[in-house]
Amino acid sequence: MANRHEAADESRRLDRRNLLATIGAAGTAGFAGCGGQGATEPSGSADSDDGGPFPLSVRLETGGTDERIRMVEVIAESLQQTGYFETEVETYEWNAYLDRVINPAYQDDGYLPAIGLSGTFNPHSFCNPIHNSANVGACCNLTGIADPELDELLDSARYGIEVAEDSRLRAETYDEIWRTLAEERYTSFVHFGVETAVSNADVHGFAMWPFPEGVFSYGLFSPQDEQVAWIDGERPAGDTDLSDLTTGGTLTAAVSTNPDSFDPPHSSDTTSTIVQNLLFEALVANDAEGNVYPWLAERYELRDVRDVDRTVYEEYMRSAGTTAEGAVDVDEQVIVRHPEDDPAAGDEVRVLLPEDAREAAADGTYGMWFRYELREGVEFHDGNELTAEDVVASYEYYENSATAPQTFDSVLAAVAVDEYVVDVYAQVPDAEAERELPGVSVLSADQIAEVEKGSIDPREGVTPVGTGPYEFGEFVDEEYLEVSKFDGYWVETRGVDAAFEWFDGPDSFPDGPVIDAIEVEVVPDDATRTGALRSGEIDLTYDVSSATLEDFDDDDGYLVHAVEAGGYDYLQYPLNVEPWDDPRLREAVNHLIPRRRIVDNVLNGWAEPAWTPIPRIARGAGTTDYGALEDAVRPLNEYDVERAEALLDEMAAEYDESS
Amino acid sequence: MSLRRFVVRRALSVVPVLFGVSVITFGLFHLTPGDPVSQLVALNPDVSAAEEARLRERWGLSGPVWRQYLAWLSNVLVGDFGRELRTGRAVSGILWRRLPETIVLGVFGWAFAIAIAIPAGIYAAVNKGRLGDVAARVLALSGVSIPNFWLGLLLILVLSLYLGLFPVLPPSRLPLYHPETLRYLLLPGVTIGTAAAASVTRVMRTSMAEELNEEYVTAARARGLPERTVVFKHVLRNSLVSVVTLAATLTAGIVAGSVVVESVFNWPGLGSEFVRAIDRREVNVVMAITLVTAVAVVLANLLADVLYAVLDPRIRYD
Amino acid sequence: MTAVLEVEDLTVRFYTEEGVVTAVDGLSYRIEAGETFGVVGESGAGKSVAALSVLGLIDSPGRIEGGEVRFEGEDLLSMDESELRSVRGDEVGTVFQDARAALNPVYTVGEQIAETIEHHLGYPPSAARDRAIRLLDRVGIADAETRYSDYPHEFSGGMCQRAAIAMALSCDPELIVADEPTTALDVTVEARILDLLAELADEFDVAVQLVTHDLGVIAGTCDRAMVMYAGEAVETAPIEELYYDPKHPYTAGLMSAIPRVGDDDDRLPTIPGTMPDPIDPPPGCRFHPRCPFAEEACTRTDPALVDPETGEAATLDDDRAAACLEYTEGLSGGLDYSVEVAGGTGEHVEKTIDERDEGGPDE
Repeated sequence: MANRHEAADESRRLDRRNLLATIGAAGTAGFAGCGGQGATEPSGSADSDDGGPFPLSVRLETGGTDERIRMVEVIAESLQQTGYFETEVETYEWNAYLDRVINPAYQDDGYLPAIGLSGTFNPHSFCNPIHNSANVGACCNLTGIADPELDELLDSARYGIEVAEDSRLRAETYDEIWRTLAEERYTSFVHFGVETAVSNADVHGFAMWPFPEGVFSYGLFSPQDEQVAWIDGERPAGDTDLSDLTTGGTLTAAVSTNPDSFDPPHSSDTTSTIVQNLLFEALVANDAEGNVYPWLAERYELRDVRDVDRTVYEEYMRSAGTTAEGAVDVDEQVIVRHPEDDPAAGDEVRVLLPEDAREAAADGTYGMWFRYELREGVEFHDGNELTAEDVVASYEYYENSATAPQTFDSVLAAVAVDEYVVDVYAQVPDAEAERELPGVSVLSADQIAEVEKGSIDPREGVTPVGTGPYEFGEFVDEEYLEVSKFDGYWVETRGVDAAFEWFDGPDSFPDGPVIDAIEVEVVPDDATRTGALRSGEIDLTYDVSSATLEDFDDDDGYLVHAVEAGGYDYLQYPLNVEPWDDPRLREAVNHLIPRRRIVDNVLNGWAEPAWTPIPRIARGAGTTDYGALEDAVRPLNEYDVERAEALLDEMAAEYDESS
Repeated sequence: MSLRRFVVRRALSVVPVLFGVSVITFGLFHLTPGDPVSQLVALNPDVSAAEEARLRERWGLSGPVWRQYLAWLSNVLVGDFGRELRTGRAVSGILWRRLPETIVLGVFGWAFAIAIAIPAGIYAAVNKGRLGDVAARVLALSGVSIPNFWLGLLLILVLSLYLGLFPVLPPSRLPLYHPETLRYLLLPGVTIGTAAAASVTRVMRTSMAEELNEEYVTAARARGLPERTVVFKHVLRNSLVSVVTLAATLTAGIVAGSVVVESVFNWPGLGSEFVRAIDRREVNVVMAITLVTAVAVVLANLLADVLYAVLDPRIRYD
Repeated sequence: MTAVLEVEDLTVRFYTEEGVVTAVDGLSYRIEAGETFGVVGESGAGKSVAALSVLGLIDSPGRIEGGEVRFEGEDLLSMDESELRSVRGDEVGTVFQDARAALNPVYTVGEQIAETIEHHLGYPPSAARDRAIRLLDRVGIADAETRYSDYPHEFSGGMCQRAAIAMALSCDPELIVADEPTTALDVTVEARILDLLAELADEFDVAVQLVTHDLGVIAGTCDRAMVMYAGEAVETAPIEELYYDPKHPYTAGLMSAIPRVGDDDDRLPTIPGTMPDPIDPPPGCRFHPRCPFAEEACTRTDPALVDPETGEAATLDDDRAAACLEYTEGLSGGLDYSVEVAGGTGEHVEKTIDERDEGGPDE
């Protein structure tokens, strides 16, 4: 026993780096952790006076960016102009604001909070955090929305055997959610953010990925969206199409921070992921709407779904000690902790460790079972062939890494079946598993075996080896990275049509990225980065302020690439305070939000009005037919003063009758 | 006392100063509440007590402060500044890579400052009260008053963006000694050297004008020496004495200015590293750069003292 | 005897913010070869300006407005700067009041002497060095070879002045302009330096223009002297005549201001009043406000420099001249003063000797 502990200590000591790397992650994830113990303001501003509910006093509150504050001011002004409302706008410093609104007592104050959140491909991220009663006093159900039917509907859209097996059913469930939300009008979505990049006119065909992590890799070659970019200095980009495609050249791009690491699981910063995405690939790929396409896996299938929750692993669990700080004291990755055990409360907890998880999966204890069949003949940059062993080693390499928490919240185990087949198991039935389970960069098992964990990095003397379209060339810390096209890139060697059954793009679509080399400059200063773009020293960058975007957009020599992304701003109604319990009032206010005007004037056009609650990126899984959804929902979100006044008149008349 | 003895004595007197610098540097970062380990533990409850103790041991954060200091100092003396918390990379590696960049920029900034300021100061003093003097004084006043980040941005805007004469990005692929590097050095070097150039011009002008009124100047002219010899041999060397005194102070200014200028020009030196490290709370990096900077300033003062003695023989005998 | 230097009608004005100062007003004098010529007067009389004008060393805001300065017959004032430079230091040496201040503190004394030699005589450095060492030795600096490499601050005041004399002599000049060369020095040192100067002037056969405010200094050293007051010469005379028979009341007044051994009076007699405002000098004779013999005519008429015997305008060749109306129009009361010679000879005017002696290593 003593020996085992010592060995454990040793491995932990070596892992210090992983542990520390999570500081950054914890720092960036700070928002989620904001538990609300903020001060409670006296209520009363929304009380109706003796003359009936109108004019109604409305206090809108917000914090954060100037743009959001201006948005709220525009809404307040719009309400004020009807004569039905007496509005005031209160603004707070961002962190103070979070403390204020993420507080279960805030719902009783009767104020209208406006805040921004960021969603993902998962449609759940656009409804659950702000409407599920479980998120009252957390992020970000601010006004105490507690609708048991809606809660059930939200859960049923993601978890459970039915939606996990049936994506159509899942999409239908979301459609029902969107319609319910439109009717109940607990929340008004105002607009969705856009991700932007700016390039000069030498860069043709470029398009932006909705998340900055894919800014280079997606634009260069993504057959799932028939996306390819090329360099051509002869004629300006903008009017060219695939028939004008030229090959070769070097793309010089700039990133805003130094990549922390080239080791995929051991880095959590955006820039690291950006550069890793040039070198590494995963089992599947997403298109810009989040649809999943087989990639390194030639095909995959959901073999089985079992109606289980995490207590099912109880018999495979072992007991582990806890630390004084309330953590589990084991060295291996904890795959599942028994839901009934709390390491902060007890001395011992039951945990499922990796070897136990594999045992459970082998016994048929799992939530979902996916089978991935790898392509044969996929070559790593070092010339070795990709096999199931590499995939399994990659999953194991994610254990105890910076990204382990988000990997092992769903992955149970990855097991090699034969040389080209891997089974991946999910802990519970989850409709999002198809996207989440294979979200692991596939590394070389040989490399993993050779290096110390976390040191796949040129600064540690290790050249990263992946299967991606570009191979590592040169990296000077804090200065630049050079990658060049990988000659043995598997998509290219077999041809895009042959490689992907699902590909139905034009014949002229190339078999791989056409730009020979990518140079990535590290330029932290925003002004310098845009300056370098103007002086022609770089071809492409992102992370450009909206004012500067305007300048580039007006300039024929540059192209601004924008795509609707996951960020959204919304306004919530204090429906637990009269008269906001009346859906007609909420509907009327919603009609008074000038979404188009806000996007055009406040955000200079660099956003999309939220005609529906789902942006483009979540439409793949989040709706059966977006057009139909928009037809149904958009009229309710249009700026319509007449309709709003009719609703308000109706309420006022009712009040007169009752008094 | 010979010059050599003077230099040795001055150099020895720097030792206690450096000791003080190390104490202050260490103290500033270690007496503030919350060492890196407690910050880590606060953010990550999965750290066990035993591990916390191990980390403290490993990072030299256990035991009384004086012992921590000695441990740190003994590491620093052999060039070990600890590791970057976030990536675990050796801080000394970062220093060695960044230091030459900053030295090249600083030296270039100085060279620019001297090349402009000494002739301008001489010209202004010799033509005191005339148009050239007034122009030099106005320019010098502007140079002292303009914030360097503003100047840097202005230079980029006008010379790099509008006129396209200079690159915006630093020469990441060129070795530092490559002649082409000069083109890249010019704007940041000018930016970093402008304030120093302006200060030196002003001091040079004042001290030159004062020296020109000295009797030895009249005496030298009375000996029939050409005006060139009088100004450049006799007056210049005396005027430089006050410039050298100023130079030590300005070196600290150049070192401090490098933080801003390197950030503006994306110059990969210690200054931009410093900003980055503060941003990321990399205590070891911040401490190492603080120490190196302090040592550089102390050494600049030492150098100034020595130069002072070389220029003015009276100093050595004081 | 030929004149080394002839100054004629020299006028120097300073254009200051307060007004125009006529520092030297129509000054004329001559210096014979090998002769020691004293220029004496209170401070502000314009004697130093006159001396510097000879070398063309008047800086802005000063300006030489007129006159000629003929050195060996050539007008220095019409020479250009480079011709003038070839005279300075070579033909005309200069000794300043504060020899230490006149030496550049950051170069060794020897270097500065050698520099002059190299420049004017075209000596190679080692020869210039040898000559400089010989000169240092000659002016009485012990261990000259070592002292060559000393900095000025390592020299005592007397040694500095000796070095300055060596420097002035370094190129075998015809004339040395010595501007208050001993004023800054201790009296014992002063005496030695004056003796040295006299000795070397003899030996090198060089003329000396010795500017001083101290009649005592003039007495022991000079052949002839000129007394200046408010920018003008008031009297010129061979030295003995000046002492025994001063023709100008100002000269007489200066005489009585010399402290003498055995003088019973503790208080030094001085000429009452001060020098007139240089910007706005009084009309008529500039000395009249202080002159005990001044009469109404003195306030109106500016007296010309004349031969006191004949009353005719003095020329450069006249050895004896004075500027007082007594010698032209005649004053109704005359000049009622007499000269008493204490202690007999009159060759040397005794002076009080201060007991302080810094005792520099060379002295």
